[in-house]
Amino acid sequence: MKFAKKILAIALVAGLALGTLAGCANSGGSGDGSAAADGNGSYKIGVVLKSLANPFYVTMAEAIEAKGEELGVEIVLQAPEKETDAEKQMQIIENLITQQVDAILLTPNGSTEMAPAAKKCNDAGIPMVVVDTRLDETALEENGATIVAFVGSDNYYGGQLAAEEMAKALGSGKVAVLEGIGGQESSINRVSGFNDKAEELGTLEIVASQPADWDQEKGYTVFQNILQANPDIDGLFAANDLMALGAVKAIEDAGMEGQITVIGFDATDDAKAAIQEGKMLGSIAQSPADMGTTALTTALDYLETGSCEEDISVDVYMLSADSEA
Amino acid sequence: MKKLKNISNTIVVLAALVVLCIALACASPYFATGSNLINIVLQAAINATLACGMTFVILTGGIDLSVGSIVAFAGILLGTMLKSGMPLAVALIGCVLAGGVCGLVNGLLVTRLNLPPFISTLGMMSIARGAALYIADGRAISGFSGKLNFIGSGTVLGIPVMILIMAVTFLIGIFILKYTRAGRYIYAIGGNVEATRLSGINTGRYTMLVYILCGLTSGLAAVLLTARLDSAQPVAGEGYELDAIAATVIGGTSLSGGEGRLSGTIIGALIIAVLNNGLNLLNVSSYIQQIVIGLVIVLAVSFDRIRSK
Repeated sequence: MKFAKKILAIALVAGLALGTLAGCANSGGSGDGSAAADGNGSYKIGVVLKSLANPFYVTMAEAIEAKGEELGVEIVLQAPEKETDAEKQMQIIENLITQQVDAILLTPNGSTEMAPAAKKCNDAGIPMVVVDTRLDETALEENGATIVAFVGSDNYYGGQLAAEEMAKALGSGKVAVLEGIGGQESSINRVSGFNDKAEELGTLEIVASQPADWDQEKGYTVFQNILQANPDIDGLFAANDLMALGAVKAIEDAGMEGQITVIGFDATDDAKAAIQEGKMLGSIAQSPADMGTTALTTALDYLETGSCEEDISVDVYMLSADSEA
Repeated sequence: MKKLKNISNTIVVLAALVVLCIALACASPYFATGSNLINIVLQAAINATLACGMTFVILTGGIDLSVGSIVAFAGILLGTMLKSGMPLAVALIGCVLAGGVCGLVNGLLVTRLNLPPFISTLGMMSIARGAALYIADGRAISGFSGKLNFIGSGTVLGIPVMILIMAVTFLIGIFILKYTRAGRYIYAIGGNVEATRLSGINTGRYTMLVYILCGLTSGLAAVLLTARLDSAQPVAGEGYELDAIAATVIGGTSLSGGEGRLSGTIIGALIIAVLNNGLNLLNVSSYIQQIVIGLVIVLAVSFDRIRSK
């Protein structure tokens, strides 16, 4: 009897394995013959995203897959379950190298952690295009790794756009700025874009500019302090939406609703809701779809010609109550 | 009789692994290549190392939920020590010992305060994670100027160093379980802790030992992970405890203790790695991958139950 059960157990495992494969054959079938077609100029591009639990990257994934279909390029798209999981991205990249993809697009789960993965791609002769989050220059250097291009949002232009929209809404007035974590590139670019444009326009006077570390709670307290010192403030530019939402709460608590024009960055769902309720004027939106398709065409460019633009900025746009409708 | 049952258990798991490999080899031309097979063992190395310690704990009927957080905590200590200019050997040993100290605290909570292992290690899971984030100020530590490259990407006679470290860990573990008195007592505690105590064995001491061992393997896994990514990350290792438990359970170790083998655990870790790798190669959606791994865990334990009835 025991023997019969053992046989049954083995049979079930085998059944599971085969069932799994049958399922795969259906879902992944489109790519099965690609190895043979490789020589005929049809490319196979590996795409490694931060996770597919974040709508930002799901949008990016869908855009890349659609673009791939349009161009007749096979897309092999994989992502870890969690955006913090760098080791899993490493595994995926090793597996993509095994599959002999022609190029890899990566949105890294960690600027330093993925440098060894870039090195593995270099060793395998597979060009890597980094998307959305930069890899750390020092880490790349220490690992002797190089990438062919970086594609990310034009944060500087986003800051400029925020200043333009602010000036349009206010005419002229006093504004405050909430910065992200000190020294981080995206914060520096967003804030300096805003400052430079404000100076150029001449109608916006920046009376305070302080870091609130991308954090909603800090956005609340820092903006409360700014309000104490400058009660006559007309507008606020926050370098991300979390800080903007914190500031919105501080404005409500101070009973100053409607007196201060708030523009955020990222166009998160919470910010969209606040924009609909009129608590924020707008938010600068990144376009994950453009980022993804630009990265794909950049990689193809490199494969065709052996070179490509190395640092590419993708346009951003202002999301307001009107554009929502 | 019990021994016989254990052997057949391992054989069933091994058969499952072989069947899985054959099926994948048929399905993907990339699977059965030398470089991919090394890839798979490499990708299993960290989880297998954790699962080695986890098996000791589960054999006594306990559980350790803190291993993933300890990986982050010990890794951050390793990164901090390397950045402060400490010699490599000191930093590596310090990292492993830091894991051992966390395990010691787990053991004290379980044996001296009589806390259920689930609760004490749940506490440690949060404490070690918080400590890692606090020490690192939430950011990754990097810039080891290549000091860890030998462990992370080096090879000896063509075999990656990470795999060798994992293999040695298992050999030591198998030796302890098979050829030492401690090994026999660990099985005995898991079988019936009261009877073991009544026969004059200091069960507290050996229970403590398994948590220390599990902490040490967590520290070792921290070395491997930090070397592999050339960075220490305070958010690293999230969910690793579940993978380690899965490898142990798939490998045929009973969650109620007293039954199981390390050879089964290593096969369990390989099955998980083969599934992940194979599903990647077949370009299966990552959502489906999670479903498949879940099914395998449930099925593996079901077989175990059916067989032991």
